[in-house]
Amino acid sequence: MNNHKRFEELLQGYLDNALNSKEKEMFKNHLKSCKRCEKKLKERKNFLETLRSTKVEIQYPDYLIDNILKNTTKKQSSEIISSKTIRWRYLAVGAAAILIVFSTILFNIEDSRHIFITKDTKGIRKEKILTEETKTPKSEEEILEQEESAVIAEKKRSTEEPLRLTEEPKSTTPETKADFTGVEKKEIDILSENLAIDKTQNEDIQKEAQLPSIAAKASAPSITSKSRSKEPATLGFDYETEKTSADIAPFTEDIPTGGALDSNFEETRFVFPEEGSVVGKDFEIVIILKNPAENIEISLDGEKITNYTKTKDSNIIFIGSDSLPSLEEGLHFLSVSTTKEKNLTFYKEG
Amino acid sequence: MFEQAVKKYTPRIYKMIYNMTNNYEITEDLTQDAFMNAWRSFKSFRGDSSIYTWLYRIALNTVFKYRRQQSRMEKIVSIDNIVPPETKNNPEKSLVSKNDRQIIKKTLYLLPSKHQEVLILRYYEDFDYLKISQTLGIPIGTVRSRLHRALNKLEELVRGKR
Repeated sequence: MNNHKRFEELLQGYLDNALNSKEKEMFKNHLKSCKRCEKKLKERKNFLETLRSTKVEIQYPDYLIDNILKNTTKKQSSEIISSKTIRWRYLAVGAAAILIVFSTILFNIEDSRHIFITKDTKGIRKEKILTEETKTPKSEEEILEQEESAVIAEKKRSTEEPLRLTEEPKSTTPETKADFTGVEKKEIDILSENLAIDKTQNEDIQKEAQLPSIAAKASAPSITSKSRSKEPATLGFDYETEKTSADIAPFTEDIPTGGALDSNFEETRFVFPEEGSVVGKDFEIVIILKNPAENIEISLDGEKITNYTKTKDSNIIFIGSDSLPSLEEGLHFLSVSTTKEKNLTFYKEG
Repeated sequence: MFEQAVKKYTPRIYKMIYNMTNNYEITEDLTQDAFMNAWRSFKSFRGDSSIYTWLYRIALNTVFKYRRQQSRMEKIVSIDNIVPPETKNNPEKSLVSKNDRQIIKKTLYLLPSKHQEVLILRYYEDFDYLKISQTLGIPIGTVRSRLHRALNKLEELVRGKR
């Protein structure tokens, strides 16, 4: 009986022409003496013919390839949204908001960098800009104002300590202090109810801006800093998702998916690939640096990651899923070090 | 490279998805979704497999994901309901007939994803075991045993309703 079962398995391989010569010979010999297998072979052959005949031959619509290309190669990856999720009104609002923000930046910021962060949540496209302003004090009055702001900000930070994604060192070197004197944090929500963001509103938003609150929203426990540098570990957050409505995993606005900024960090993406992604058994990390960097050190939850690939000019780093440990849902800690060390915290979606 | 792949493989992917959904509109959406999924992870496509098998894998998963979403919203049709009435009182009828084509196809959709994918790749796409193995990332031996089980299951379900 067991022997017969084995031949049943060989039967399939025989029909699919997938047996090696030895197996083929063995099966043929068995077939000569086994009526049951002979009958089964005939039935299965007919069955497979019918199965094959159920395939429908159809022609794809002419416009399909153009549509696919429009949504992929002809579109910036960060702007990828499913055709089904395109909401023109949001795009229009987004465009208007971008203009407003640019004008805000031009008129109010002397030395700034900005990063667009896009989120597509439940079909609502929300765009945020985080800006880091480093204004050069021009008068004593301004210096005093900045010092006051710094004291207020420090007090605020100390009250928010349990919510912080990364710990800010209590003592900083004078050099580091000087680097970050007068650093202002702004979070401008473009899609705020009133789009007419003017300077006054910016100030209000600035007061309300509580960047580390993202961690609180995600119910994050406080994370111990692993920063070796003396500078404040986190200047802001850049989180981005390329998820579309096609994604199965619910994506809530409360879950940050990406990391921190540094003068050399263009963006960091934590890609939780679709099931369709061969590479993505779990997820992968893409770190894009503004400038090429040497001596990159990466660690995840304290474990050093040595197996990663980078582009020739070393400004894009890929950490494939095969180089990453299996991660459970929850907050994890990624440390990336180039010239300065930055700590990133992210949330692994279930 | 990606653009070339889109142009080259869209017809096949579209056809495969249609054979899994039987609906033009859904096929079109899923084909686009599959390529968008592919585009998103294209940067990290290492070329370990051919782009062709890689795309198939993504397309298959896109369809299965869609089905899971649908199955949450709709009650799956019971396998008892897919048998045409005329076959019920006709036990002597040969296993394979014109009516069986419809039954086989509908029953195929009800099989577990891992069984469906090997059957689709083998008998719709005419992939050999090696190519199936590369596409699904499973050993050839697993392809063989999985195909064996999938066909037995499919045949059993179809036959059981006769």
